[in-house]
Amino acid sequence: MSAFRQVVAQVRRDPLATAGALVLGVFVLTALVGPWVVVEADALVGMPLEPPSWAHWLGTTGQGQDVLAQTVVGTRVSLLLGVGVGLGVVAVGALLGVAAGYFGGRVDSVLSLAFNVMLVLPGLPLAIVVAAYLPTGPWTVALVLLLTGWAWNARVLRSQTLALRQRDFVSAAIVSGETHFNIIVRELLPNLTSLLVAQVIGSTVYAIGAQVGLEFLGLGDVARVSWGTNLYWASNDSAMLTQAWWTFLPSGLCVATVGFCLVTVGSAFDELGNPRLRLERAWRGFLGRAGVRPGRVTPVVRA
Amino acid sequence: MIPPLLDVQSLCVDYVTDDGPVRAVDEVSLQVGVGEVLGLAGESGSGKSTLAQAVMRLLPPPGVITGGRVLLEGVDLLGLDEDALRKVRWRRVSMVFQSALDALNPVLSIGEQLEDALVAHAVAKGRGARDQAASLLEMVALPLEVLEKFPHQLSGGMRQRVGIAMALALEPAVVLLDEPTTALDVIVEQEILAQLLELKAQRGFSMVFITHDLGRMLQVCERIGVFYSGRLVELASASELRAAPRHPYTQGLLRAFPSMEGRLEDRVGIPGTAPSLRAPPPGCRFAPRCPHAMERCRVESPRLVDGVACFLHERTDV
Repeated sequence: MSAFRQVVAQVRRDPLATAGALVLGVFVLTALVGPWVVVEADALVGMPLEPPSWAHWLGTTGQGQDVLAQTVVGTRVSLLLGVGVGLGVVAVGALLGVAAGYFGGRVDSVLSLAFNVMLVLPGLPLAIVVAAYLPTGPWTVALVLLLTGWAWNARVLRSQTLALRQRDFVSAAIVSGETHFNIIVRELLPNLTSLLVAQVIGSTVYAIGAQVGLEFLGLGDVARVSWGTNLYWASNDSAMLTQAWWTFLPSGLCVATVGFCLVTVGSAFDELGNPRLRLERAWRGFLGRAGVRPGRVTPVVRA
Repeated sequence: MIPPLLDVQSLCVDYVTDDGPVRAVDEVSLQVGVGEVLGLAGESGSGKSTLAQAVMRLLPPPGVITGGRVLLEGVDLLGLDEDALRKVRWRRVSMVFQSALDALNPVLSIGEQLEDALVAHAVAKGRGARDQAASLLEMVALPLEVLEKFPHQLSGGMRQRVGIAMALALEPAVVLLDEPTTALDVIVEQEILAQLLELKAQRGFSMVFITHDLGRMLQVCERIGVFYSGRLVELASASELRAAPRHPYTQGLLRAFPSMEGRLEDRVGIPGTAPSLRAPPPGCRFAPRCPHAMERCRVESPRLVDGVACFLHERTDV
């Protein structure tokens, strides 16, 4: 079975993950085709702060732009940045973490010092300070999030690598004369797959949230439509004071929904990397149908 | 008649999979008397270890016991809850695991681990527990300094002796030995088995000895049960089994086993491989590999009668 089909089968086995994956699919589709369907999201199409109506399903912003159009168009930037930073954070974390764990010694000392310094510095305040100094724009946001997000992943991967490095198959690879690069890429990384996938998902949730946070504070490019800048403008136009809930609820809900869906899909991946969990699910189902509660002793189910 | 110490009655154990339950132990019944050594033989996956773990209620998910009874001194272990079971486990029935390295905690000294069992069951504490731990080590012929050692500092044989000392710490009535010597070399194995038998003679506990080494088993056990594909196919005394195995599978096993004396003969194995438990053959599970299989064997499952589950030995007068 190909890896992709295995992933699909795994997600389909879990109803919550299936629902999450479907909703995420809708968001991805929106990100792909949205900006073509909604050509001009910035166009002033009505009076400021019009509540939802048939003409504007989600009302208008404080400037008189269509909220639905802005939410749809904002999806692409927000998702792309989130997934991109999520992948980047894990790539950097994996590179440094696995290197530290595999080579050990002085390499480990230096890299571990770097992880620890980054972990001690509070992430979001640092991101705010750095973002305030750099020119605004999505690239700055991505760079800042990358800089402040990789250390935790690196730390976790380092300790996993340390544990794996003790295993006989790594010794066997060393004895058979494999290069360091090969050992890391072919022996160690495949054993870290489930952890890496979990980290990509977790980091993507972090990246989307932090990016929205930075943009909300006005540290992104406020002229570019994204969920974060939508919230920035809603706040700027005193949405809360005027009780214009339709200006901030759609983008806010999108952020929360994407985060939630990613987590549900992530739980299915846990089982992919740990076949034992998968069997336990079948076992729990079997016991549930028999009305027996699983405990710490082997259950007895009489037919 | 005195009831047997351990009485397993048509025990069924299933492993739950995505495609439904798979039966790993199928209606197995056997008894262990006071002071008896029962051997369970069979190849990997035949259900012998699963049976032992089910008796202890130690089988991890996805294992489920789906039928039968396990009477230990008249009490059905399958009817006990976690608390009641904790009182019976180790005190009345204990276990020696295949890998003592995995069964011992790497960060606690041997002494601490031996004391733990005594303290947990309120048999002794403090100074008394320390003394008892020392006498347990003495019992398995280990020097006293082992008390201070950690598992990785001991050899495989020493670790297994610690495992045995631990299993005997609370003077249980039955000890289940799940391939206790498989990971050891033959000389150490021999020593440990001799010591076990000696301890048994002194203390009078019963043993259930699980191994795939039929030769070793013939030497150690009084009665032997042969497993095939989750079922008990033959249950006989060691001498009967050696002299006149009745089930074709047992015959095949013994033929595959070279003898030290006698003429050099070609070894005859059993053709084919064990069936998958997911889709076992109908009727007798051994029928596809059996040289004596009859039409009936492929349809009907033989029951264990007079110690053998085979239609060849069915009494015609019944």
